[in-house]
Amino acid sequence: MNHALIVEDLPEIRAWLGVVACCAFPGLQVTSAARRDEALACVERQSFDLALIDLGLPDGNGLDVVAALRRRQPAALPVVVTIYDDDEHLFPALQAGAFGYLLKEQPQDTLVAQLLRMTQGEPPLSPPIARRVLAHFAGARERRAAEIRQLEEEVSLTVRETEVLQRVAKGYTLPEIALQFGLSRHTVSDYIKQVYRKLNVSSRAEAALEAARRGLVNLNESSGH
Amino acid sequence: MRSCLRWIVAVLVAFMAQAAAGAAVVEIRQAEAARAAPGQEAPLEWRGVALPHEWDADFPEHSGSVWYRMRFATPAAPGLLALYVQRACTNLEVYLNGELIGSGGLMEAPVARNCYYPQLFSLPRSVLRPEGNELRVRLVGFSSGEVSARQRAAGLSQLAIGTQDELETLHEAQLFWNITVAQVIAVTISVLGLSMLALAALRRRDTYLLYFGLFLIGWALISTRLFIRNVPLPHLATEILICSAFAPVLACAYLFLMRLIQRRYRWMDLLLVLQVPVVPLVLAAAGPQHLLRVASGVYNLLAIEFVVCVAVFFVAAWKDHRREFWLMGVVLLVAVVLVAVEIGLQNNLLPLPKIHVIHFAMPLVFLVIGARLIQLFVEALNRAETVNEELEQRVADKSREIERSYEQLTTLRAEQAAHGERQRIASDLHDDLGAKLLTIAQASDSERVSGLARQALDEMRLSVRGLTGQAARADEVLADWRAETVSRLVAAGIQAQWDAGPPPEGLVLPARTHVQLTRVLREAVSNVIRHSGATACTVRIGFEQAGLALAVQDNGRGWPDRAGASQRGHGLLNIERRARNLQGTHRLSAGEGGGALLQLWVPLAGSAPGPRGDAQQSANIDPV
Repeated sequence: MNHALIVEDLPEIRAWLGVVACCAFPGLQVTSAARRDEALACVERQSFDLALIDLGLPDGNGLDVVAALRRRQPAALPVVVTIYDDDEHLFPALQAGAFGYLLKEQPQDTLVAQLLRMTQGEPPLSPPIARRVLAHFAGARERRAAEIRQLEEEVSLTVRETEVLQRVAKGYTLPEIALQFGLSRHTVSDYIKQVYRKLNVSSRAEAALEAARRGLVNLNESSGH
Repeated sequence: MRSCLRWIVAVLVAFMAQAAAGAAVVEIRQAEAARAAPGQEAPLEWRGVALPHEWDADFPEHSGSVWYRMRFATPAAPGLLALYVQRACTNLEVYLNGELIGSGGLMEAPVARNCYYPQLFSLPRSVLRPEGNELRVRLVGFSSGEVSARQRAAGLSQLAIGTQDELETLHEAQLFWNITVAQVIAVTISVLGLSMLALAALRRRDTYLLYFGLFLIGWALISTRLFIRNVPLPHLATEILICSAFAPVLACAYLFLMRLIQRRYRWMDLLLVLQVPVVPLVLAAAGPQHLLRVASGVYNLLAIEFVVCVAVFFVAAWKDHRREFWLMGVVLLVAVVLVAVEIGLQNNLLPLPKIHVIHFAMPLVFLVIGARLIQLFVEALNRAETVNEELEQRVADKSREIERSYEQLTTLRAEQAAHGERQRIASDLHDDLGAKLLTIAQASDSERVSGLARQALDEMRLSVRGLTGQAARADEVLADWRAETVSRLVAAGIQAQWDAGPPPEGLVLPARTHVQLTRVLREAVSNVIRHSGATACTVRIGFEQAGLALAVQDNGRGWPDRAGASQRGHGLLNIERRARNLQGTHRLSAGEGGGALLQLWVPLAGSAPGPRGDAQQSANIDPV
């Protein structure tokens, strides 16, 4: 972790997020942006290992920054930092490719701990989010276009991934699930990371198809990314 | 019904009359006849004849007067005496001992038409002579060449002399059968015909109704020939008129049958219609001497046409498998037989009967057909009504459906509007109030201020969820609570035990209940983490008595020994307040093994009355 991007419009919070990031990763270089266009320009210009991105920006949605980072710098770790804790806000962020989310009002040491856990490969997953993910992959599948289904064949959930998600949706914590399946905590985290990745791929496919349908993007061109 | 009774009575009367006549009635079967020169009255030359006497036998081609004379002894029977003449065609005058004692009507042109009328004349005692009497009858009539039906060729039946009572019975019976029945039938089928025309007027599509109505009326008009005696027309014209009338009637019968089976043969239609004016022209051209022959030809032709028409009907009805086939088949066969008999009579193949069967058998056929048509009409009406009712039902269903959809749409719109507004408020709260509270929480150096700000933010978030949230599924709520509670307890180094029974199928928690219970649980768990010093905590949730029971038990210090009294008091007060807000109950007690136990029960089914103030019931969820 060498270089972090922090996108936040409130100056105090922006500064404080910088402190949180530096606490987690001492010696980290921090680039800050207060607006969406500013952040997008940074993403074009520099490469980052980590990005803390607020969703509600003055000139638009932070999800665009997440998506751009995902596209431009797949190695970077985008984390959404938000005041909203409901799945209506968080799920689109995960679909856009965010690897996790932090709730802003938590005490600094909690945030640092969570951030460390995420970078070590254990993304947070609450029951409502798990339910949304399951629904995304299963329930709505029949309604989707054939092209997306085909793309999703490559990224569909495995049986074990689905089982883990189902346990999370029922309110079990990751250590409990690891115990129940006789797996290591690390393996369970890997399953969840896979789920995050597949969710993003599937969502991108859906978005690309939607754009193609509206005549915004040529599907062949966009899938070349 | 009434005509049926009359029929029976008439038959009985006729039988009795026959029996009586055998005893006291004198029949005259021999007479002397002499014709008068044309335009004269005086008899020319007497000769012996047998009665009944047809002019054709002795006076062929004679039209005008013929005298009959016969002698008879005065019967010994007491009371009034009378002379009964069963048939005198066309009209007669009766002289007794040179005195005119009776007449059938006009003897000059237009002669009264009495061919079908029986005659009864009183024989006055004053004129009768004990030594013997001479009876003279002057008959006015027309040779068979000048009539269109054999029944109307001139002739005199046998005469009967007896008591007035006995003869009157015979006379009445004959009058009933030949005249009264014909009148009744003419009126009946006229009425039926008019009803059919009325139906046809209401129902233009079913043209067979029109033709059947016209046919019946035509038949009724033709049958008036039996009882209308005085026609203001020359004899020849009357005969031609009667014969010609059959052509349009046949045309109507044909059109009726074809329309009934939905057939249309244009050339046949045309032929039958053209025939209507041609027949009277041909008859007129035939002249008085050949009228009967030509008319018989016309009748034969019409009969053949009728039979052909019936045959066409049969073939078509058979092909179409029409339900009418059998009924109409029987009825039409009867009609064909009747027509054949009539043709036989007309062509002198059968003797003239006393009673003309066709006159009352044919109308029965018509009545059956009419009844069938009315039945068809009623069936169609019933069908239409059923269809109409079904249609109305469907329209009503559709209307209800539309109303329902509209209501749903309206509700949906209102809900959408409310939802949108709540989202806006929620967004504003997060962006303005939330951002400021956040800044306070993270920028403040004071731990207490940041803690309060965080709490405020948390409260705000829950309030917003109560504002915008939909009712949540109970099983999902339990999963969320479990994840949060277990994570927090484990993170604090406390062993967590979660013990929640499955919620009732399909149970949902209203947003307000959801939020308040989330706060209660959160605060109870915070209390355990901060103040109890416990190493294990058990959370139990059960759904019972239309409510939700929550129990949080730890193995730490009991309630009185906890540190941070103000904090504790504040948290517990909040729990109490929230339980009260939800019309629930709560209780603090010592847990097993010295820890603290918090119990809470809140009703779920909206207004369902909970056991207020009875916290004891929450003991139901005690460990098994």
